Amino acid sequence: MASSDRSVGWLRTNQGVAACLVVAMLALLGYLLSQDWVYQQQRDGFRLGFFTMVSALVMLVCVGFTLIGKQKDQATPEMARMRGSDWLRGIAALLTMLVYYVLAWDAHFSQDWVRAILDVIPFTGDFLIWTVVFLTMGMAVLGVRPITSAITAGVIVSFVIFGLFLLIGIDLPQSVIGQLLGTSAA
Amino acid sequence: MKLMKLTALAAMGASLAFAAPAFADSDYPSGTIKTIVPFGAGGGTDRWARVMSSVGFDVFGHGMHVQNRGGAGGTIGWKYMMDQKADGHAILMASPTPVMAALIEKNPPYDPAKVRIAAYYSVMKPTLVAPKGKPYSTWAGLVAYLKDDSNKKLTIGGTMTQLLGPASLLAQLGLEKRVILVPYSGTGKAVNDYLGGHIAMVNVTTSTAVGLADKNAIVVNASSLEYNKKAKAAMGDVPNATTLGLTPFNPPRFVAMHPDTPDEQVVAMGVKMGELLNTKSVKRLIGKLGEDIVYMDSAASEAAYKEVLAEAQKYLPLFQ
Amino acid sequence: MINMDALYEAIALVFTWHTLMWIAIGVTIGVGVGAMPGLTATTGIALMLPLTFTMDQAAALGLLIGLYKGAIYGGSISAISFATPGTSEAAATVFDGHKLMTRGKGKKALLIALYASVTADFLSDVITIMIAPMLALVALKFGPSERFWLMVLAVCLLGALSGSHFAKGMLSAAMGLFIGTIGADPVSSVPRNTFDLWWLGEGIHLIPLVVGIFAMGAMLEKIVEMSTVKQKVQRLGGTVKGLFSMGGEGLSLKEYLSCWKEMSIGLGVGTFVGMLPGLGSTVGAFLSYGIAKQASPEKKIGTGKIEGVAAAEAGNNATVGPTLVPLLAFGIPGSAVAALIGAALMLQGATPGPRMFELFPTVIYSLFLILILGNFFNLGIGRVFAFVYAKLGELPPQVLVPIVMGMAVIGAYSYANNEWDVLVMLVFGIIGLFMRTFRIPEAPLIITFLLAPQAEENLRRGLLINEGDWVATLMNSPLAIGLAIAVVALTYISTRMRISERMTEIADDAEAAEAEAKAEKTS
Repeated sequence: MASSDRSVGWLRTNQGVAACLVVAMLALLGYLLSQDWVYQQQRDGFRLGFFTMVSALVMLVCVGFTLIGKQKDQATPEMARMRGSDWLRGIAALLTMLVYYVLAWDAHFSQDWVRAILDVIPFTGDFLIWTVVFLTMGMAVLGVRPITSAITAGVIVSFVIFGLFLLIGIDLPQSVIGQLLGTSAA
Repeated sequence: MKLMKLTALAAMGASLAFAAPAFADSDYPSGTIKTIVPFGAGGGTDRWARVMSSVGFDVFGHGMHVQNRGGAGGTIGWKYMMDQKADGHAILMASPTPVMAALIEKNPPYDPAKVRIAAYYSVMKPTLVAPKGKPYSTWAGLVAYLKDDSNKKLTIGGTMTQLLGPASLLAQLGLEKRVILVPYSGTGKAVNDYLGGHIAMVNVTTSTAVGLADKNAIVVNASSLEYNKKAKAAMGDVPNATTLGLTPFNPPRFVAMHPDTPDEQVVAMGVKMGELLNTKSVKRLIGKLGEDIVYMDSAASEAAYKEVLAEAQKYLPLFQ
Repeated sequence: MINMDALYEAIALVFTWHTLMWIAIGVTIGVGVGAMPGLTATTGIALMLPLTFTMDQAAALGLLIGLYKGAIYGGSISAISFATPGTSEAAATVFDGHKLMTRGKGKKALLIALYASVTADFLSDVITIMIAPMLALVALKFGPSERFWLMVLAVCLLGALSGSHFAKGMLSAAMGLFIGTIGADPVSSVPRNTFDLWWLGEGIHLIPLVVGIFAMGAMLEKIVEMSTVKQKVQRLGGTVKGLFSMGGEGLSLKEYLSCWKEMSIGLGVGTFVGMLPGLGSTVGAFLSYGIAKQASPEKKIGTGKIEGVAAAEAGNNATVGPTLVPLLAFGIPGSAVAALIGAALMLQGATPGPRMFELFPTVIYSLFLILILGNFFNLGIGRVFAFVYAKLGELPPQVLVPIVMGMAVIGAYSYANNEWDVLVMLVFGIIGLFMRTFRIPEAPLIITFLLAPQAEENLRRGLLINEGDWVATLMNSPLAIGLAIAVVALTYISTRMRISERMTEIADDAEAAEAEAKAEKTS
């Protein structure tokens, strides 16, 4: 399943990754042990944290086996290929999705500061506009050229999704178009 | 006497609702009513909301826009209602579930006591079902059975809200330690275990009890409300908390509003809800779903809510 | 026994253009809803329920049951085409289905998914109609103890799904257990393991979890691939384009028939899982997939085999008919979908319950006819849809990835309109990327996430009922003892099989390495 290429850094081998995971698992266990609810006894005698602790311990044991197991010197091809910047790219993609969600749905997660920022930005809570922006940007960043085709694709897909959801009867945040059509609720 | 108070209040509310067109002429509501269902689409509350909203336009002059905000035992939806403007244009179709969830949660996102209630639209009747021909198939038999310490403890299954019914009745007689309350996440699972003989008794809603009445004994109705005609015909005479002289447990379905909503809007919303529930098509559809409309106006429901909240707080520790 | 008058009346009701049209509409909406990540059969049916207020009986049932069948199948389309399960029950289809797709056999995968779905669905409907009351009685035998052992038995199949690195498979399973304990304690309802976040009080929902781990994991991996192997992008686009051209490799009758074993497993498992309240089609799909993999190690299910797709899809669609068993036999809905169909029946004046056969025979026969008929509509409409949706697979990844990401956000939110679900989905996206990179298999996580909380719930419920007596709880009935023995036997067999499997794998690896070395030399 994996390459045992010597050129792969130790941190990328099963052992290296497992070492990081061991640290993470120990931190998790430490966190759990410091929590009051873990020890709270229930009416059937079980402690509230019993099964959570069991799962955390099993995770630790499994990570331990990976650390010292037969395949410890191997690295998965994906792990060997991934660079730090790739992880950042992944996280950036997820954050972009979060921002898209917050803008398109006007979601503030009960946070006043998010609310304050959203109040300044125009068109928050407008599904169509932000979906077009998100899709066009995404396609352009990933390499769709010329930009006009990214825009065209973004607009068409957004409208198709909006139309389909309208047909099924699932609410998407109101939009300028929706208000013009009279399909969105105030 | 509890029943009398409740029915008197309900009757007062009803008369208020159907003979007070004064509110109808005011300019409230001035827009669509955001109707928040604190559960995903498809549950019992969702069905009520969808039936009620189908006549929303006729009653309010504006539509009722149903929004499902599910998650975290209904607390997400309740919290969402608290995040809306207190201008009377957002209502929560509440049930005991988000109330219980907030009572159990260590850091609840809201205080279930701090809420305005426009109306009760239904009250559940927690109904205890046992197999026929057992010593505990009747309420008197059950009490006698539990009082005799040589008998084994009895298991009662059901959802937590439902179980609070018999738990409160038995606790008033000092018998709560003689039963084992077995909580289930859904009525279906509980009835399945009951029918399979894995638990001795099950506590269910009226419509489920009607379905079981044919081959099972209906022991007690923990609320103070009478069954409707159809249910009575199927289940016969069943004692309820009032006939037994005990404090009832009346878990409500109610229309909740932001705690800062002005009084007149809460009252007006309650009146409108009364009108809405009195429309033919709502009555017909709710009847077909096997549910009962129990309407109470704002004043009556806020009083009743206080009582049920106190009961719940008193008996929830039995589960922990 | 059969009430012929009622049957004729039902036939007259069902075989009208009006009813048939509504079945077709139901299946069409269903496949569409199912193929969109996050939107489930339950959501679709709940949204359509108010429409049925004004419909006649047969049309209402046609719409809802058509939608149900379509949605359960529809999930597999996007699972195969974009590695993004449209519904959680299609997650098990991703493993083999998407691998076939990337190998240019997408059409074959989509077809076997459709045929396996329809075959198992049809046969399980027939079983439901023939022996529903008997099935219901069997289901009643499963109390807390029996259910506990059943869950343990199911979890034991994990070995088969844990991939080539056993410790990583078990790590995945433990992660599933950990995530499963987030939420309310099954006995006291007190929140636990919620990191002091009130919105985790009910726990993690299956939909954002599955969308995050499968869909987001796959999309993020694609983004990384696109950035690391830039020069390959154009070529990759070209190969993807070829996948669904008319010349795509179809499915031969022989291939369909060669999956008979997997489809039978799916049928059996799905029927059984479907009739027990609270398990659902996702469990049906994963169990069937796991058993099929265990049953024929020589077929190498998991490496992109039509047999794997057949097992998973047969397993989830076979739950459709049997889900209605507890509803029809006792009037108690075993799932959210069954509750909705029960509500629709009540709105039509027919209260579900044991006396339904006497009181409303026409409704029952109409329901049965529609259950059967729905499969044929699914076959026709599903086929069209499969190819329409699969056309999207022709899009280059630069276009596809943003669309799937957008859909994941919409789906994770629309499932319950819960903003926190979007956050949960994104967090599991990064976990999914890590799992793919480190080759931690996803299946064990999903299985333990679904089953371990149920095992715990039933164990503790059993202990509560038996007042803390472990022996009475675990050895409650002959059935419980039988299941316990099965657990031991299965563990023994699978350990032995693992060893032999490992041997062949090592041999295969050596062979592959040799071939690779040769290829390198020649190039």
